[in-house]
Amino acid sequence: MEELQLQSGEHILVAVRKHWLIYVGSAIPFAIFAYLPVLLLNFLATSSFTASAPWASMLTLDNPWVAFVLGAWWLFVWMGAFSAFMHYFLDIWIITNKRIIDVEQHDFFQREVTSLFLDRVEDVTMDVTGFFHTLFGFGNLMVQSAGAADRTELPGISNPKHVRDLLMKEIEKFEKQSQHVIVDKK
Amino acid sequence: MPSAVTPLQLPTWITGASAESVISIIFTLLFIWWLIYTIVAAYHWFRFGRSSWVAVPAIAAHLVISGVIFVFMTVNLH
Repeated sequence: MEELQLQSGEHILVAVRKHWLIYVGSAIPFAIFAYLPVLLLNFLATSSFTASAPWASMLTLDNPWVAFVLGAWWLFVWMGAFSAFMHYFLDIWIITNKRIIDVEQHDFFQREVTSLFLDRVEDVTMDVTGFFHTLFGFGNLMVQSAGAADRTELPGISNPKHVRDLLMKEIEKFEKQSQHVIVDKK
Repeated sequence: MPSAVTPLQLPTWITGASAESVISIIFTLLFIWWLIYTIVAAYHWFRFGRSSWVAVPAIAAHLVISGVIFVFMTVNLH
């Protein structure tokens, strides 16, 4: 990743994404959109509505014009689902031994990379709420930094407990190092 | 004295257009849109996700699925 330049002595500890179930949840509307026209065509083919509206009997998959329009619809639905997957996959949080790097792909050509240094972290809160969250082990991680408004949220990440423990361990290391520096100066 | 109302005269390129040519134009526009989208998506995958093994299979899946849809759209058109 070209936008990421690690500092000297910095190394990546873990890179986390949202849980795959988050993408499945966002893909469900696209699956419904794709299936809706098929459902409608089946309804027209089987219902008594076609008797009163003869034009409706032409709306079958055997009709090449219907297939053309349906294909165009599916193409747009597929592009939407593929974009959603791309945004899911390119959103990533990278935890190094010095900072948390939050990479967010909002849209095409709209990418945001923010860093939160571990020495500024004051509080790390984990939140696993809900049936699916508990069952599949994903949840939110809130990282509060020194500034009152500086709060980074990692929503829907896999195994938030592991990530929180890792962060706390690194913050502890940081604190020990800074204490050594103060003692050495005395 | 008011002149008689004359029926609307559409340009000959509209009245003379066959269904086949209309479909060809729509298909071409759709393909251009898809092509631009694919280039932009591939750019993002290779620029920001290239260190991941998912980038190439994702683009390949997009091409294959889009190809199947294009074939489905046009296979019965004459």
